[in-house]
Amino acid sequence: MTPTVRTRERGRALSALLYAALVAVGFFGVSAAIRPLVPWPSEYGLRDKFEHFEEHCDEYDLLFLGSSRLWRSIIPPRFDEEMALRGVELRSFNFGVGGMRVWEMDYVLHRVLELQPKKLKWIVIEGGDWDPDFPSVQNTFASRSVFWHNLAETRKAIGASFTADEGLGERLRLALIHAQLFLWKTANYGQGRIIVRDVRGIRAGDFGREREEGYFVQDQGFQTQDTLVHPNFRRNLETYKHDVSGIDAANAAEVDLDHVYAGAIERQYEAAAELGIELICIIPPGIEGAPVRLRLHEEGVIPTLFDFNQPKLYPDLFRVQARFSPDHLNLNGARELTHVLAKTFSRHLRGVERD
Amino acid sequence: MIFTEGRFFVFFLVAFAVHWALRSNVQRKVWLLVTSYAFYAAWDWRFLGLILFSTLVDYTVGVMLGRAAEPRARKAWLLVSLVANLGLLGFFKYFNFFIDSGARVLDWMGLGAHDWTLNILLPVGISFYTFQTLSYSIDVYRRRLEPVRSLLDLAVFVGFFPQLVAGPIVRAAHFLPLLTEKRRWADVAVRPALSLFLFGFIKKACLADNAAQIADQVFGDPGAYSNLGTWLGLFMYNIQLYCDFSGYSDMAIATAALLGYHLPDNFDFPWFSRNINDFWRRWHISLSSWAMDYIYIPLGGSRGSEARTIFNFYVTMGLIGLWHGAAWTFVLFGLLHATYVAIYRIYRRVVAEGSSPAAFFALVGCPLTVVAVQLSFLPFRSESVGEMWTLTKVVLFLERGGELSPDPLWFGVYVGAGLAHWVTYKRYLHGFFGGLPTWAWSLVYGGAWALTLPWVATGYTPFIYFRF
Repeated sequence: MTPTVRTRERGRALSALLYAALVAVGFFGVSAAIRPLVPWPSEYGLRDKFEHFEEHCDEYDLLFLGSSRLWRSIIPPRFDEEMALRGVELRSFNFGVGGMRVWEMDYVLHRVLELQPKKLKWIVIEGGDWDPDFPSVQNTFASRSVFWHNLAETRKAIGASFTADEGLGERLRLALIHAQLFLWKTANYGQGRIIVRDVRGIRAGDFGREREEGYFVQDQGFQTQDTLVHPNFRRNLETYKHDVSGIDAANAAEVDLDHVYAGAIERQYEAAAELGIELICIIPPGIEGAPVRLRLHEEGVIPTLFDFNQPKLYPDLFRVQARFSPDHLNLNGARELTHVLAKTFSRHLRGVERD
Repeated sequence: MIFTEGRFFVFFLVAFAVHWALRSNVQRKVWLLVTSYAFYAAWDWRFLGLILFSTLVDYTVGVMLGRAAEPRARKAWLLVSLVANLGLLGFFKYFNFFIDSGARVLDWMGLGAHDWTLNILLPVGISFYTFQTLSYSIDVYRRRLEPVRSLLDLAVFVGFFPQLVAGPIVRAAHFLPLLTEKRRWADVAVRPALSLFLFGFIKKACLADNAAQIADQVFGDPGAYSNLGTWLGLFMYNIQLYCDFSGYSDMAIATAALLGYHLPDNFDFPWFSRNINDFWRRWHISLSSWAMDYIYIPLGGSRGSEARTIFNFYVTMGLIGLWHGAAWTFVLFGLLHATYVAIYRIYRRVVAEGSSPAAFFALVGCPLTVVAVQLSFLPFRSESVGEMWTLTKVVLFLERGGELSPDPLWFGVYVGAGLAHWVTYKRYLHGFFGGLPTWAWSLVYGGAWALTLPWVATGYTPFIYFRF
């Protein structure tokens, strides 16, 4: 090949790269312009709750952030009353959302902090094990999973994928899934119909209008599963009792913290502290242990932890009559948890371990 | 791996970059073969053996046909190719169909037959590459094509990944000469190729897959929808089928073009056809022209009596129907089209050109053709003859059922797509986009992708023609 030909080919390759860059500019520019039109996912009131909080963020002092285990277990008006009786005037909001996992929680937390709420002093967050895998194959590529995959969350999820206690192949698979979801988010992949429905004012569900104990769900965020025990749960009580009896042993299990992605938790505490907000981790009563959060607390990564997942210490929360399903409290249980939570929180504010 | 998947983009980027980085033509062809087999292996590596077998058989037949001078020997070698290729196709695609049909006939005659169908997987793209290899052997036999000397060339022709699994069905006479010369990047029309790929992607991922959701509702529960709802389902299936297949063809042609290879057009705006003959000149052109050259004309074409010509129509169209799938519904589809073609032939004999009826039919020819073709997709899409009959009764207003309520938004989207199709047909914006400087065109192209991806139907839908 002559030098002239080589120079010409190099020039062609360079111009091809330049045009490819321009294609990328056009693509990312238009995608970025479309992205604000993509609404929050509406499942289980996630969107309703965020929009409500966005509008009223300066009215709340305390936020409960977690899954359905918080959503159905903490009654904000009752909590506020109990705190007032203990001399602390505050207003709380339950941002528990069905199916919310630790990554989405992290995303919501940072979006809440971006609002810089003036009165907000405490965020009680459920947290989790920072497992980068998806528990349900069907949900892996759901719009809701795509939604939280912004650059920051994707970086954390990919970081967690490579930290996970898995073989290289599995780590790569998880990292690629998160990368793909990030690309979908960036490209607004498949969101056209949702955008148009939103522009036309069509919203899925009617979450905002449900009432509970005289409050709009929107106002307080709580929704209970009444006082009943679900028939399926009633039929499997032996399994439930067996699971509950195993919680202590599960909590005592060895955990290799090298495989837990602690960077995301540290970032949560830093971001909250910048706004003078205290982040408190909560473990609601369930049927499984939460050894990762307990070890992280022991290591000081989680400074404050309210652990209600202790059958011996809180037997009332584990009574069958307090549960709707193995993992969810009913109204009886929610009243009890709200009560002990207020007690615990009050003690925490006073800086004492036990009354 | 399908063209609308993210991993295809990565695959193609690597295939494309290495292809153009290689210096010699042989290296490039070897690379194309490797990538093509890798592409096919992503489906099911076990069936690579079939492609290799087909390639080796036809290479040998080609070589032997080149040497044989005796007509009997030449016929024998052609027979080897026909038996091998049609044998493979018959076994993998039609074995169960014929056994099942035979058993039913025996049952009907009161001679109970055991059900001994086999659990045979249909190798992806077998109908396409079998027809390609057959065209090679037949053309060599007819002395219209010189036997290829390089096994590599024939292997690339059979396995070329852009058209391997869903066409277009490329003739050896068209493709093999392209392999003899080194492709030059300077000859690649990049902008048209990239635009064609985007159009194909929109057709497949945005229009076809979304239309499929409504079509599947109707065909998934035949008879449960109202007359209008069933018509709508049928209409959506038409959109799905056309956009799915022509979209795939567009992407195949564009992908090949970016590698420096020209593939023939497979669709030419069939919804603007003026009559049924015109439709078949515009719809799945590579198949209809293949059937014309290798079935209809060898049968005698229109050289014999009127009855013989019509018989030839029925045989050809029936086989075209059967090519699509091993079911009687596909045969019915073919026979219905043969009837259309026969009626049109009679019409042309009866109605004099320039007469008033001719003027009237010229006016309504296009909508009439569209409706006739739409109706022919009832058997095409139905899972069984019984299901087809149920749907036909609803379509013909002999029965009514529930109500289908699709999102009205989609009507708007499809009206928009129809207008875009018409604008493309008329080439109204061709000059505008073609006239943009490359930097501006690049920005517009990137923006067009950003506007496209939100409309992709989430939820994986495989290409319809992969089944065939």
